[in-house]
Amino acid sequence: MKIFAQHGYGRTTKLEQGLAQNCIQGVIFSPKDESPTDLTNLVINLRKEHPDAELMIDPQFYVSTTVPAKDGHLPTYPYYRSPLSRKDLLPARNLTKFARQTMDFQRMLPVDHLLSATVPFDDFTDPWCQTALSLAQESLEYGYKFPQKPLLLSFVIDESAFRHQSAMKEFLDMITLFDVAGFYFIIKRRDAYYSQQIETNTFENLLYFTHTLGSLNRYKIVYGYTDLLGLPLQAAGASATACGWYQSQRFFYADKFRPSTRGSRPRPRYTSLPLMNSVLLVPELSAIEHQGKLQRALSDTEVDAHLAEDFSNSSAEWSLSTSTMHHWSCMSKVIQRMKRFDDAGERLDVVQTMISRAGALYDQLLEEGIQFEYRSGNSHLAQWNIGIENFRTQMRL
Amino acid sequence: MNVPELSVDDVACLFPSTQNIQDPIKGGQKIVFPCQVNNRPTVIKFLSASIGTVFDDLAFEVNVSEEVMARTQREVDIIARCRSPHVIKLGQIPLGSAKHGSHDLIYFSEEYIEGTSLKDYFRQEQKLSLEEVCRLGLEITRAIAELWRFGKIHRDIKPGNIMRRENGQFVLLDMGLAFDVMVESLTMTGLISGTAMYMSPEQTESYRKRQLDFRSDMFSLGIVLYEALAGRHPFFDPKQRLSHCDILQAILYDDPEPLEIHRREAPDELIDIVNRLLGKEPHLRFRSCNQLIQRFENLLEKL
Repeated sequence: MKIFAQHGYGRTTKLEQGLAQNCIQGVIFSPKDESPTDLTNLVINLRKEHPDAELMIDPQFYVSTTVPAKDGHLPTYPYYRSPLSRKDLLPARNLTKFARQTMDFQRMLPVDHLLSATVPFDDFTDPWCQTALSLAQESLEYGYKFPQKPLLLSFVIDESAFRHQSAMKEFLDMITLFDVAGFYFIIKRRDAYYSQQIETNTFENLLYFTHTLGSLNRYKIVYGYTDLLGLPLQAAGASATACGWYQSQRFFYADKFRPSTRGSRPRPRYTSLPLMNSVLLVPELSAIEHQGKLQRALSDTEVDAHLAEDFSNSSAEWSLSTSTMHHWSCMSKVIQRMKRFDDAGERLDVVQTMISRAGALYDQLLEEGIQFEYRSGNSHLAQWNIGIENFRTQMRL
Repeated sequence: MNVPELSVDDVACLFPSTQNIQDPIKGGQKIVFPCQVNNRPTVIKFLSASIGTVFDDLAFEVNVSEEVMARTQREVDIIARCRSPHVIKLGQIPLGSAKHGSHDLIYFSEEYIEGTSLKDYFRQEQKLSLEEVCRLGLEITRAIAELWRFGKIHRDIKPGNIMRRENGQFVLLDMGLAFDVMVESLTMTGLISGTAMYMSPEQTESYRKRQLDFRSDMFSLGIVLYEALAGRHPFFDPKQRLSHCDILQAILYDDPEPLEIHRREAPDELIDIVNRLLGKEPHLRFRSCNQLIQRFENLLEKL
């Protein structure tokens, strides 16, 4: 069970800092945000400085099908082709070429795993899913040649696909026949606004999906672009979840790679484990402090001590870098707690206890008149709890 | 389907090189003659070339075409290439067809195994020792793995198709030589091949056109192992008269009684393996035979 950094735009020294402080145990690199030379140097340097860190590159081949695309440095990578239509992905020889070139670029670098090329799909029964499976198959066959760099098969799946359990189960029947080290999944969210919310049924099936692959079939399961939601996923059986510094690196939405005019800096947030959410530093956390309840909402990491001692000054200095280290530390703290248990049921107990306490704390704060905006609210807690309960009933955990 | 009516004299006439032909054993859809071929203990199996379902109350006949014979030959070739000691070996009389009266027959030969079928063994001993259950699991999984190496699945793993040699080794019989070739024809009509009591959920759902893989055999093995531990079938009491629908319903939707009730001393690890094998979905079982083999090997070391 590990927390990885989801690399992206504006990295400064966050990766080095996170690895040095051991609040992350690995990095998933984003070629879109670095030139091939810079990415190569970055990987080599981090490998040298942090030999135990798990390093992998998300090749982001899936951006190829987005038209028009905001693909940054991707066009300078030898494997990247844009724009690609379904027609381009039909001939088997093209799939072989795309799969091989994508892996060839990664295998020259000191990464721990190769990640396969893939295309996003919205449903387990749509033709794009078939293309993604064909790319996986091609990558798998090529990957056998490089046993020293185990392969993770990538899939980018729309969250709505998880509403249909029977189609999801048939997909599981297929991919559990793959003789591969593991999978790298990205769940494409429907809501363009960052929040912890997820439909109960979708969440329940996502837990089933993760548990089946990770705990039962013993694949290495890595989820990219997750946030606190990564915690129950790790409890269910994922090996690692990745999140970055900006909200756009903590969830993956359909238009992430489309040109957009939006992009104002998000307001600083604070990750409160007692609330199981990231709340706005101002006015939400400051209102909590004003009510004398700050200690109850703090996550009890090294950084929190400064906030407790001098809230106004410390919160004014709450930089993106501090917030990122704090967020990763919070996640790692829960992971450490869950690591004590081999059993998924016991790990989920940890998460459910946190949910229940968070619910009680929200109730108290709301009673005292503290208001939370949509993304900072408590709606996700019930969704998560019901999803976990239903999943546990189904799997008898 | 009718079992071919053949006598010892008919067999002697068809295969003059055979010696010591013994009285036939009739079972299911075939008639089997133990004999000697070049001084090797052998059995010759005859099946009617008109093939029906395994259910007594459902009669259905399909003619075996040349194409079907060719495919059967390919199946035979695969069995001939199997190297596992837990897969029955073919005998010296190759696959062939013959006419007997108005009947078209398919025949082939297999080694003769000195031992007891697991079905008879269950009748005598009821339950196997924990170590024997693990060995049974391990050895039949090795047989399943060997077949899957050639992309083949057995489809009819049951106590009657498992022999326990006199040295205690378990061997999987009846590689579905004829079964496999009839599956396509039968499933086209919506009927099912295999023995209902030991079918996997996906075998019963042929209408969904799901591709079967080795995990279907794992489910059947799970039933056999449950029986070996508990002394009863996991989904129903065979003494009850159940319809096919009841049987299929139970396989699809019922949960077995906890094994702990029937075999208190069974280790959790073994119970966990059997429960995994009895998972209703293929992805809930084991993703490779090797994973399962490893679990059994670890367990055997501990016992």
